[in-house]
Amino acid sequence: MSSNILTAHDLCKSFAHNGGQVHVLSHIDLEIKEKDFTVVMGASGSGKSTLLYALSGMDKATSGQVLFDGKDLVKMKEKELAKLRSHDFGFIFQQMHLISNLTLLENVTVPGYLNNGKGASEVKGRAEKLLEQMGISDVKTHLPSQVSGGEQQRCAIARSIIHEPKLLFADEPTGALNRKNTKEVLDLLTELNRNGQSILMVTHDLRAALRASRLLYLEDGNVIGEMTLPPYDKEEEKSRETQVNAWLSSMKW
Amino acid sequence: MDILTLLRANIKRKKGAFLGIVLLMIIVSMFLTTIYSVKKNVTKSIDDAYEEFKTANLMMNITNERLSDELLKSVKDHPLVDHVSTMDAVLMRRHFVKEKEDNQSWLIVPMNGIVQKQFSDDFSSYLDEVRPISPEGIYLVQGIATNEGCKVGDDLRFQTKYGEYNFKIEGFVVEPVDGCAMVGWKTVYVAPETFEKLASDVDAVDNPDAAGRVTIVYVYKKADCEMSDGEFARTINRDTGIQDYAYASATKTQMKRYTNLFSDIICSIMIGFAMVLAGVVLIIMAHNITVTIEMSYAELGILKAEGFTKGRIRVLFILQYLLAEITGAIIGTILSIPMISLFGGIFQPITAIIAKKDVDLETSLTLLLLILGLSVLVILLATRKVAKVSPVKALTGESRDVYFESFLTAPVSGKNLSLSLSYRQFSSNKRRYFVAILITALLMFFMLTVNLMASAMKSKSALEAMGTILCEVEVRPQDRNFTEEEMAAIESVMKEEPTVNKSIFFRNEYVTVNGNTIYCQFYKDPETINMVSGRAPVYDNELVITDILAEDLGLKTGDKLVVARREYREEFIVSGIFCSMNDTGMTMAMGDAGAKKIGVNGYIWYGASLSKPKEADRLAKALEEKLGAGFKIVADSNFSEVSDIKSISTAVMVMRYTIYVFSIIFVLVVVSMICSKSFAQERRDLGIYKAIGFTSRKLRSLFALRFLIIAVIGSAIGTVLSLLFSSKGLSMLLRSVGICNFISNYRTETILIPVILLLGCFFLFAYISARKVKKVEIRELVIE
Ligand SMILES: Nc1ncnc2c1ncn2[C@@H]1O[C@H](COP(=O)(O)OP(=O)(O)O)[C@@H](O)[C@H]1O
Ligand SMILES: [Mg+2]
Repeated sequence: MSSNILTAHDLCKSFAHNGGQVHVLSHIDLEIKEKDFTVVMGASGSGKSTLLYALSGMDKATSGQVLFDGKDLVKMKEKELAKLRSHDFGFIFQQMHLISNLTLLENVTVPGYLNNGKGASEVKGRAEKLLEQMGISDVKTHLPSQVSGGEQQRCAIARSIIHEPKLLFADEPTGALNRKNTKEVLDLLTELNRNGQSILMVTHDLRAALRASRLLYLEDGNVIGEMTLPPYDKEEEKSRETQVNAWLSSMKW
Repeated sequence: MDILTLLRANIKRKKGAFLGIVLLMIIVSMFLTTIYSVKKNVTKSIDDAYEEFKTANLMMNITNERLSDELLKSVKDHPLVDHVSTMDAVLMRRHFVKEKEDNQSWLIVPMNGIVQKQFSDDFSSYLDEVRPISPEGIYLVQGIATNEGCKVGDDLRFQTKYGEYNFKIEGFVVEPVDGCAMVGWKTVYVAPETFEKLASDVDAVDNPDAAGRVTIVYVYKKADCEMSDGEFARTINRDTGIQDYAYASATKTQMKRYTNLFSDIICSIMIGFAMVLAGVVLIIMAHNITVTIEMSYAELGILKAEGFTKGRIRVLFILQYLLAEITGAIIGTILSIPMISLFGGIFQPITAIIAKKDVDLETSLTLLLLILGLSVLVILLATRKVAKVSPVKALTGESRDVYFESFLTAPVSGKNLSLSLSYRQFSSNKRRYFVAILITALLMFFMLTVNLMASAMKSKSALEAMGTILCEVEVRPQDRNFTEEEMAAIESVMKEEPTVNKSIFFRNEYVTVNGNTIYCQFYKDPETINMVSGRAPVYDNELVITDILAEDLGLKTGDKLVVARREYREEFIVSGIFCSMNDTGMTMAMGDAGAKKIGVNGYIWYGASLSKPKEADRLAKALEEKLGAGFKIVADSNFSEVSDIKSISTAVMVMRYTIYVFSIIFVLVVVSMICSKSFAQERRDLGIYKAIGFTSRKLRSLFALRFLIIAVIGSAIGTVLSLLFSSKGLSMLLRSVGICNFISNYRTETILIPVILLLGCFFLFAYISARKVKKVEIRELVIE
């Protein structure tokens, strides 16, 4: 129904390790569709993060192609990649990674300012609105160390979408959060996706996987399974969970 | 053993910091050893030369008609006097070196075996034997070569009313007493038969005012006389009055001081600078240790958990840094050997004595031990925090944030993203950059202070305020005084000119005050005297003295004193304090009325100081038309030819560039050390910045910008320090050359050049140091 926003061809990633080569990703072909909430699942160490970093251009693939907007990320120079990050991609880390000497508001505005298309006051206005939306506007002048992990992650989400990215990447965004904060963050992401935001998330958390409209399963550097789901609906969570669980067990999860 | 293993590991891992300290220490120890050795060598060489030449304790130049046999005999018979020797000389006022005219008085003496040592033609060594001189030849001293820029083979001409004499400069000889460039009175040597001819020419012309024939009297004190040279001279004069008849006199101690004066001042400043550099090393070390402890909380915790006491950990730090310092000190001291040979000769054009090339190991070792001792103290202070490291805290990963909240914080703004972000980096970790600011401020202070010295040398108003008479137009009659008519004629021309600030008729002579021979200045119009306080000496019993003389003689305004000159003895009263650099500030001045009272009549020099220096040529022409021939009229609008100022500014220049160069090297090392520490602490942030779309280039410029902010603050503080202390410091330091009130002349370039240099270096070096940003990979942010 919708077109591809990101395409990977024959993607390989290996690391030099103890004099030998560790092949983490081997010949992956993958298409990420626009407006989808794509979730990649897999056991710890299966290469999820490596895949996400290779697809988002945060790290260079060893070989293969990653096409975005007709251009190959693997061949891009640093300057083009930086432009991609400040204009087209957003990124959420497991460890939030906020800049510790910037306030929450500044953490959100700084990448916005980098995006030269918008005026400074416009960026600031949007940042304030996002923080409001994330429910953390009352602590916006605090430093990251002065707020809770959940608040930090919500700020990180606001930061990742300040420049209205075409594609949002998330690496285990709930990995460092407690139960309550996990739910809040997932709700936020679901809400974003409902409003048209394309998301690619990797996780090994079942609750996070439930939010997907498309699920991929990664094992030993290969995508070995795929499932599409209707958009998330809170009412049907139970049945959705059973469905996903069944699929996961077929993947030997 | 465990300590040694850790020590080796630490040095290997922190190569950068280790090398940084080694490098700084190399510079400091090289600098200190070189300067102290050069200073000691120069002093020692001068002492040795005085010893070797058996210099008299008291030397006087007396014109023949004033020196009677009885006077000489009374000195010879004085109980304190060992023996007296004399030398015949002819006084020459106008000479032309390479056709360039100069009016300094030279004494021509015959080469009757009195020359003991001769320079090779390039001044690099002494000849084994003094070369014989030809009848047309003349031997000069090195101070003349310095001031006049002449060399062997150049022509030299004396023009006098006895006749014209042409010589060829055949060599330069050593004369420890007046060979130095700082002493105005000079002895030059000709062949005995040439001297005979000259002397008889002079004798043929009967003119007591021209005072052509002079006897140089050398008085040696008895070996058992314990008086200082000054006391000895005063006693001799009190008992015989011979100094009162001399037109110039000096003691051995005084001449030694003049010879060494300049090198002494320069060395003092350089030693001060070296001390600051040593301080910088200590500061940097303290900073490094504090940051290391902050960053390796966990490791220190592990060490403690393994049973290391805090004492052992501190010993580890001490060993590590002392090893770096000692390594640097050894290399620095070795490097100072070639440096001493290289710079040992730097003062020779001024002292006119070849300096030794010895290394002053004793002083340098003492100083280095002092630095090492201070280091241990600094390290002990900086490692106090080790006590607070608890193994549990460290191991549970409770590392403290590297940033601090600050009242200086300014919001990060979209319009000035780079600048405001850099400022945030700075303001949230001021403590770390405090060190860099302090160092910048100190370096800036030093650069500004030498610049002030250099710019004072170039500024007419500053030089005048410090007591130099600088006149764009000068007139001198040849070998005689101005007549009344001539003075009236000059005044009539100059009165019409609005550009003339000061119009000065002047002469100078040595007189005796309370037994001390003092350079006295006589002004026809006492209102032209450069007064500091009190009143100009208008009445015939008034005179003014300098601050320096006031202190030396224990006099103040209102005090009475007796001035003796030849047969005159007159009481004067000090009417005020004036400012003059003549005779290194040991000078006094009186007006026309006072001069007449002690038998000084007429003036030999006229000068006009102009508000529009460009008018000098025109005024000189006007005077030439009015006065006709028989005068030497000079127009100089930029004082490029003032020789003593020229040689001083050259040395100040050398000093300035030395300070610049070492400041830059220090900035380089300090910036790269601080940068790499900041870099290690901020590696994670750099990854995040990259992840949100910053390019490496942008991050590098943020780093550079941050250090630029530091440099701006540091330079500002350095400038304020300079405004507060430079003048005072220089006044204290330069008192010995007669400047008791240093006038700081801050010109745009005085401040701008060091500021640009510091800002540029900080920015550039930080940008270069931050090149590692390229290697930061976003993937480092992933935690398994
Ligand atoms: N820099 C590296 N060098 C060597 N091996 C690496 C490196 N980074 C990751 N790996 C390996 O790649 C595999 C996949 O890692 P990762 O993508 O982080 O897995 P996941 O995110 O699924 O837990 C792991 O076995 C890990 O050990
Ligand atoms: Mg992972």
